[in-house]
Formats: sequence, C-alpha cells, structure tokens
Amino acid sequence: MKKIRILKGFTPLFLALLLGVSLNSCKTYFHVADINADKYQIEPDHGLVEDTAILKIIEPYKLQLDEKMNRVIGENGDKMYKSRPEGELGNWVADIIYEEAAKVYDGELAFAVQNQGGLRIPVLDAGPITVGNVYEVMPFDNELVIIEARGVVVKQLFQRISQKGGWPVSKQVRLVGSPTGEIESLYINSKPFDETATYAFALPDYVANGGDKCDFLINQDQIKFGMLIRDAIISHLEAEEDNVVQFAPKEGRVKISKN
Amino acid sequence: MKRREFVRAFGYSSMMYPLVGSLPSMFVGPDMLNITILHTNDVHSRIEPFPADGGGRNAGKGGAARRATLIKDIREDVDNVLLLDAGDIFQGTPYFNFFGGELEFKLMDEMGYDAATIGNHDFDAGFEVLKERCEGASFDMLNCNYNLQDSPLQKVVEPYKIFKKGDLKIGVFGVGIGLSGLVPEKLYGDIEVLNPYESAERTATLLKEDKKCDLVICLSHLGYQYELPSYPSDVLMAASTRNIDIIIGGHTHTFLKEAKQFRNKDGEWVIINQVGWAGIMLGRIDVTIEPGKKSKCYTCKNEYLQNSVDNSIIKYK
Repeated sequence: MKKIRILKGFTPLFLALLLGVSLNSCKTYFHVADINADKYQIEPDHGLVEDTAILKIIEPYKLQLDEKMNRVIGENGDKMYKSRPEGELGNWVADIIYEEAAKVYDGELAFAVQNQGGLRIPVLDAGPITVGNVYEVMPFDNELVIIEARGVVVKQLFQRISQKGGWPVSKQVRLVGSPTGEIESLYINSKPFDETATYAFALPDYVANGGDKCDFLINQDQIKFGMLIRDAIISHLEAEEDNVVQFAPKEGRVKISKN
Repeated sequence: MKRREFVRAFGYSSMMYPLVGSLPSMFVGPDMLNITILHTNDVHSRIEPFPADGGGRNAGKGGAARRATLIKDIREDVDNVLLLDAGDIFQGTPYFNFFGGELEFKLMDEMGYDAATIGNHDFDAGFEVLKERCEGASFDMLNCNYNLQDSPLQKVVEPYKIFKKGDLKIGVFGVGIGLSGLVPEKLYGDIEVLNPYESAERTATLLKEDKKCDLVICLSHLGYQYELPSYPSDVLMAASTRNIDIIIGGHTHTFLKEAKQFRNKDGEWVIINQVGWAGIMLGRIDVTIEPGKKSKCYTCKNEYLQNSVDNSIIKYK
C-alpha cells in the first residue's frame, strides 16, 4: 500500500518534479511498507502471571459477588452442551421455561422456546451448579412472557427457528425444518400443527419484542409475571428434589434437513 | 488518476533522474517506524479467567489480570502501541449484572486502552449507563454510523480519534451493527443507524485525505462475514470502501486462524483481524512504516502478512 501525504494539489507537484524542480525536499512521506499480524493465547500455562494492580481493582467487586454467586443450588449429572439444531443445555432451559410458565399461566400452555443466542456458555459441566453458573448460562435480564397467538403467527416462529438452524424448544415440540425456513413437519404435543388453532407459548421478552428478527411477534399481546428467565431457572433448581438436574437428552425435538 | 496509479507513475518518473533512482539504500533500514496495534473484541465482562474446572474447553483461559501483564510486556518491547477494542465489552458474567460495566471500564483504563467501539451488548444496561461509563473513561468510545443527535451519547461518543505517535498520525474510527431487532429499542433510545459502508468510507477518507493520517484503522462491530450478503460485514466493508488500512472486527466471535487481507475498491489491501471472544486471545498487528523525503517507497511490500511478528515475548503464544 503505497501512499503519500499530500494528495490534494499533487498535480502541480507532479509537474514541478517532471521539470526537475524539487519542491518537496522538506516534506516527509510515510509509506505503509509492511503489515504483519499475530495473536497471543491468554492461558495460565504460558508463563503469564496475573497483574497485581488489576487483581486489586477486581478484589472488592469479587468479594461482593462471590458471596451471592458461589451458592450451590443443584447437581448436574452429565455434561450439557449448547448445540444446533438441538442440545442438552437448550432442552434443559426450554423445559424449565415451560414448567415455570405453566405453573403461573391460567390456561393450556403448548410449548416454550428460547433463542439460541440467549444461552451464553458452550457447555455446562457435570457437578455442582452455582447461582453463578446460571448467570453465565443466561446473563441477560430476559423476562419470561407468554403469547397467545394464531397458528399463522406461530408458523412464522417455527420458520424462523428453522432458518436459524434450530433453537431450544421444550419437549412438546417435534419440528423438521429446512435452512431456507420451510416447515417439513411439525407436531405439538404429538398432534399435527394446526394453522387455524391458537397456541399459548412461553418465550423470552427479547424474542417477543421482535429480537432475532422475529418482528412478526411485535404486535402480539404479552402476558407477564415479572419473572426473569434466569430467576426462574434458579428457583426451579432450588425447588427440585435434592436439587438434582433433570437431564434433557437430545431426542429429535428439532431437525434441520440438508436442502 | 487513482492513487495507486499515480504513485506508480511518480515512481517511474523519478527514473529519469538516475541519481535519485540509485539511492534506495538511503531510505531503508534504521529509519523504519513501527506501530504495534494490540486488540480485543467481545470480551463480554470476562473479568476473571474461565473457571479452571467447569469452564469447558476454555477452562483457565482469559482474564484481565493476565492480559494486563502481556500488554505491559509488549509495551516494554516496542515503541508505539495502540490498544483497541472492537465492542461488546459488556454482558456475559455476573460482574455486569451486578455492577453495570463499572469494573470492565476501570480495568480497561488501568490497561491503558486507547479506544473502543460500541457493540450491541454495550447497550444492555441502557444508553444512560453506557454514557456514564464513557464519561468516566480515559479511552475514547468511537462510532461513525450511529446518528446520535437525539441521544445523550452524543456527548461521549466521537466518530473518530487521531493518535499521534512521533511524527505519525493514526486515524481510528468505529462502525456499529444495526440495532433494530438486535437490541431492545428502549435500551438504545433515539439512535438512527446509518449505512455502515458509506459512513466508514466517508470517515476513512476524511482521516486519510483531509486529516493526513498515515494509517487508518476501523474498529468494527459488524461481524466478520455472513451467508447473506444483505448483512453488513467486515469482509464486504473491506471490498466496498476505500482508505481503510486495517479493520479490527468483532460481534461474530470469530477466531481467525490468521489475519486476512482483501482488496478494497481501489485495489489496495485491507487487513482484517478478529480474536474470538472473552479475552481468550490478544490480537497483535505490527505496521512497518517507511519514512522518506521522496514519494517513492523502497521497501513497500506488494502483499502483507507474509511474516509472523518478530517479537521477543513469543513464549506466550
């Protein structure tokens, strides 16, 4: 990439030089001669010690947090992965959203959905689950809401889920979609999807407000309970018998065809 | 005449004067200047390293305290450092939920960040909180494609900033992703998002041609590349603009194996780099600059990225 400092007015300069008159003897030109790139892995075994000034700044914040976050609220029996079109972590979260919403909703709840981007860790390891772990799974202050919508609207949601390559859905759903957003097969609670029916479903307010390009949901009324999804997960875990996590294996809730 | 052609014609013209043409050695070697750009993106409130157990494949990685040591070491090793972040500083650990980004900014101040751009998640505590953080920060928050005239952020966000390193002028500007449908409207308030390519080119051209910057760096939170060409991306921005030398990207959490180079619309190289997320990596771009009394460049490479950076603290890699 060759460059010179003065561009505007270069024509007279150019002509002057052609005439053998050096008008630019005082000007310094800076040329970008070369660019090279590299990266460093930040890992403890690379000999990097922790900077003490930084640790000192973190300390008071960390003390406050640890007290809240290190509380163990569950025991995870098996590693749960976040994956598409379906993963154990997403299944687990979607089932909790369904169960917690069903407890407070005065009607028949069809299913629950959680956008993939709302889950923020790739894997939840086996072992104790702390409040902090749940914050990492779901850091967003997403509120749990319920929408009662016509089948035509619900269909758009599943088209969107197909386009996105699959989102976490609760166990009532069996979807086969295509990457272009076509629904090849859809069952809710073992019944074929009915475009003329009305479905009540639970979801994060982020999606209900049109997030992740779900603008077709914007005009739907939202039923709210003042409950954050993260808090729903925490209270769900605390209420479990012996705090044991109900592992939700991949079972074909969402499949995306290859076309 | 395009700049490249002009430079070439200019170079050839000097051959008419054998004396000038025969003295290239005067312009190479000890006089070369260096700029070292260090960069992060999508750190997402990863204050501490991922837990040693339970952090999955990232166990033990990242953390502000180790990054700070690395940056200090590099600063001792080279003269001119620019430390930059491509956005999504916020959201991802309880530190953000409980303290609203206060600690993230304090740590960036301590590490000596020079500039950052706004990522979509930097609105997650609302624009008022972002404004408060920017007000207290010692680094600049940059964005050129958010129309902030009706937003309180106008007071704390600049389209670009020019850094002087010795005789060199380095222009840095920011480009942000479309917010509608990505960020709840109440969190970002009255911000109109303008076409990123047009805004980027206008700002880059201002920096390079009017402000005479020797190097123009774009901090982008558009994302590296998408399947749909209708989604603005760094790769498309590189190809469809002029006057940008380097794009430091974010948003897509892309771990590029190595930095990439693309031709811009004038046929000149644009370097793009992005280093994943969560502060697991620190990116480094070394720019070598040849100063001279003539417009001919004697050492300019036809292609960049041919060497890995020669540095003495390579043990960390």
